[in-house]
Amino acid sequence: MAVVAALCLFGLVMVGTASPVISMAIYRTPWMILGEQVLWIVIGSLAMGVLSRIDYRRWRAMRTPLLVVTVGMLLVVLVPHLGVTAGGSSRWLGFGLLRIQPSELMNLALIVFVADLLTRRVAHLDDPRAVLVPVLVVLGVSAGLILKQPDMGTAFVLCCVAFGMLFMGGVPLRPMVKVLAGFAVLAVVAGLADPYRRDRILSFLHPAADRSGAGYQVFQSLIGLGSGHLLGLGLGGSREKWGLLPNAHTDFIFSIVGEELGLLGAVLVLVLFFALAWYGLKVAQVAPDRFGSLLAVGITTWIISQAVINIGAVIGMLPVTGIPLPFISYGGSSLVILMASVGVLVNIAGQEHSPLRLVAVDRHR
Amino acid sequence: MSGRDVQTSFARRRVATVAVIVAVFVVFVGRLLFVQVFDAGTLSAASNAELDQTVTLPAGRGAIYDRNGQPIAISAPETEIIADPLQIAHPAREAGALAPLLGQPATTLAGQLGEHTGYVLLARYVGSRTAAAVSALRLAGITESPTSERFSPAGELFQPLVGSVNAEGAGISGLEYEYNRTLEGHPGTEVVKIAPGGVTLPGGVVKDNPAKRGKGIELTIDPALQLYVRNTLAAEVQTSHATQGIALMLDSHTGAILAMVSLVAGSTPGAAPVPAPSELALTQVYEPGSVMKLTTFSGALTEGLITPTTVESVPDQLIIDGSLFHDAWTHPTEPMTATQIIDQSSNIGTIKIAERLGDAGVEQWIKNFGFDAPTGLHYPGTSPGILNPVSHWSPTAIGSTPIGQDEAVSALQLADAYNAIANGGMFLPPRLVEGTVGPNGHLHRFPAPAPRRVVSTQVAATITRMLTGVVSANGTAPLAAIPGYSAVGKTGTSQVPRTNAPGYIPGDYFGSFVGFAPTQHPAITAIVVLKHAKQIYGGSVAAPVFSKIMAYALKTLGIPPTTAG
Repeated sequence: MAVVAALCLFGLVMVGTASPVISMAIYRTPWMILGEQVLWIVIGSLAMGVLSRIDYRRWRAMRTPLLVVTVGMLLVVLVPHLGVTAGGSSRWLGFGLLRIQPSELMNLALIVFVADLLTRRVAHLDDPRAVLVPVLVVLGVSAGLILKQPDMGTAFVLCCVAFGMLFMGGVPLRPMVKVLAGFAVLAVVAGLADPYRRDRILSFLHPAADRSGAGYQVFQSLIGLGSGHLLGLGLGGSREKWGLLPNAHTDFIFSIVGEELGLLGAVLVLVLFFALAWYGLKVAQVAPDRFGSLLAVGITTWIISQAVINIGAVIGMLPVTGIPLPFISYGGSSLVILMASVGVLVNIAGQEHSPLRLVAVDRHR
Repeated sequence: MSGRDVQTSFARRRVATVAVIVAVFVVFVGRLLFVQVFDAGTLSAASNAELDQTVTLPAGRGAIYDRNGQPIAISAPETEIIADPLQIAHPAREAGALAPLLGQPATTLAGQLGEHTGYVLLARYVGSRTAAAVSALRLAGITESPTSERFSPAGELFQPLVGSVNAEGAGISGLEYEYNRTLEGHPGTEVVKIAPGGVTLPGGVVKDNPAKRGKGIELTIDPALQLYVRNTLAAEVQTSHATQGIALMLDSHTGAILAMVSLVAGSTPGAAPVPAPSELALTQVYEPGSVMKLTTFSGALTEGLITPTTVESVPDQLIIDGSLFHDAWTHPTEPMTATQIIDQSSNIGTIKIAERLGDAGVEQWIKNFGFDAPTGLHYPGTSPGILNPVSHWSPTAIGSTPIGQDEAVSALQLADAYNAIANGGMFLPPRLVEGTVGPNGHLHRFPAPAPRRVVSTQVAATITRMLTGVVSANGTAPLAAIPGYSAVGKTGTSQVPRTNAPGYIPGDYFGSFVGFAPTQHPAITAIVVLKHAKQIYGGSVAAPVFSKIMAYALKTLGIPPTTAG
């Protein structure tokens, strides 16, 4: 929780320094975006506090409605005029500040669903039809809908979460590897089929080759990081945020961190996420039951994979997919849902330790 | 699968997961090291290439000061308003906003803003308040650029001496041109980081090569004398209907120019004279006439060929190699002393003495007084004068050269020659610029040029005595006499040669007077030249000006009167 607080506060500072330029451009006042971020963090903190006091086991009962509602929202997003389109993607529902991204909620729904499934069918882990297939069906439908938006990043995070949970849940490796190989082939085909995705992927391979075109954003990001050097240009000293690096306060905030605070600041962020991963896996280990353990695994995988995909893109090692850096990037619904999930994690950690947690077989199966 | 198996598998797979996370962590840190440390130089260079813009910082032009340190020409920072019409989508709207600020009709501005060009100067020299108001409008394609305006507090008083600067502030004439390299300074540069939106990034000034302000120059000119000389000469040019007037005043002891005025008649008859295109005392050479007789007399006296009382038999005309020379007045052949010859300015008498000195002697003594050589003064178009070498002399040259009809000299050269007599035979190279003025206002004097002896003290004293008669009641220039002060000098009246044919322009004369005062301890040496005046003789047109300006100058400088009057 301290780590998340540190990340959020750090994020607040970074949004504060990265956003005034764009805020001026949009709202004609420099602190609008920071103000919104403060509001979202307050809401997120409330959500985290409330969820940390709600017994995580209650989520099991919610699994089906959650899944149905979320998939329903994903369908609605794709309906023209109902979903909000921005930057070429239809990812949002609602209006104004009350915009939510159903795909974020999908992560939570998937985690609850998989954790429950793996707990109920712990005796049939070796049977692909009992475990692997249902998970793949839900994953396929949700990831497919999200890809349709299109939102490669979130779809990829969803896959990471699903497979991370299957892996930690003790599903045999062989069928999983086969499926993963199939996914990889599918991903390559899907990636190359769509020009929008193809451009982003190819530009990642050669960022400097097309500095003014598809590779522009990543190249600007690298310039920012390089200008930061060891100790950075100083808080507020970023040059990239002055209209050179698009999405400086959202998806590419890590570049601003590296530019203003240098290698030191960038590595600090990595360390914080590493600490969060460590804490999440610790919670998984000490969780009172298998469901809680897998819930912790899912939430941790979600946060960490999203961070890895985001940072990987910013430092030019992964394609740019357009997902925010958890807790640090500006971003309303994403921040609230992530903080709420951490609340769940905290609740699991706070439950009494049970030596039988992993073998506790659900009696209601 | 048993519970035990699941538990073991969880522990094993947890280790694997941690390993994957550590691996990603290590790879990311490694990549950050590569980007932020090893590649940092290249990447920050790329950043600089995107953002850096070199801005020129104007140096600020040095001022020109008079001998009292008061500015004659000084630059003040100003702002000019420039438009880039290619960036302007709504010329009429922007013109409407600018019109009241710039005080120009909106229709005119709209026309300028609508031109298909990238640069239009809308207003030169607007005040800082107007510039700020224009800036506050935040109009597309309108920029404010720092510039400077050259002011002359005394208007045209020091023209054409000081000269002028062009729109870019570079000297194009006069001393502004001659001393441009000293005055202009070195513009500085500044590398500023400017974001694509045009915002100058905070703390973005990277390299600062400060502008080096130009040095000022201090002249030897005395503003009070300059003003009086100008007004007096202007009045004379106007009343005498002269086409041009030149007056030059030297400090006898130093050769420093205290006042220098060049006027030409106004464009319409009766209009006030205006400054000449250039400083005629330095740039215009003319046949000087009788004032040149000084050199021949100096030579003859120095070489012992004559004394002041040496008597020559002087007819009123003389034929040399078929050419007729004559005096300005008719008289029978009569005995004249050398003193009478110069006082009455007898051409024939002078020629007789020149014949004693010989061709080479005449030429040498002209040169001894600094003629036919650069004056050492720096001013655009300064002329060394024209003197035929003796080897090219025609047989008549021994007649025309000593009386100032075969050579061309500048008024400054004449003043310098007479100043050598005033100064006891020591020739003082003229001085116009005292030195440079540093940014702290400190004057760095130029080394004074070395004086050079032309004639002995005795010869100088002799010539001075011989010339005292010129301003006496029966001399050639009684009008040059200075009330309260004894003075010596010499008149000159010469014709203006045709430029495209042999002979002279009828009715066009240079009338001049050159001299110094007070006689015994000269303080001021001056020359006055008028061209094409109603009254042709130097004694009539130039001498009165000499008298007035000398009287004023001597009083101003606190020289005690030497005579009652």
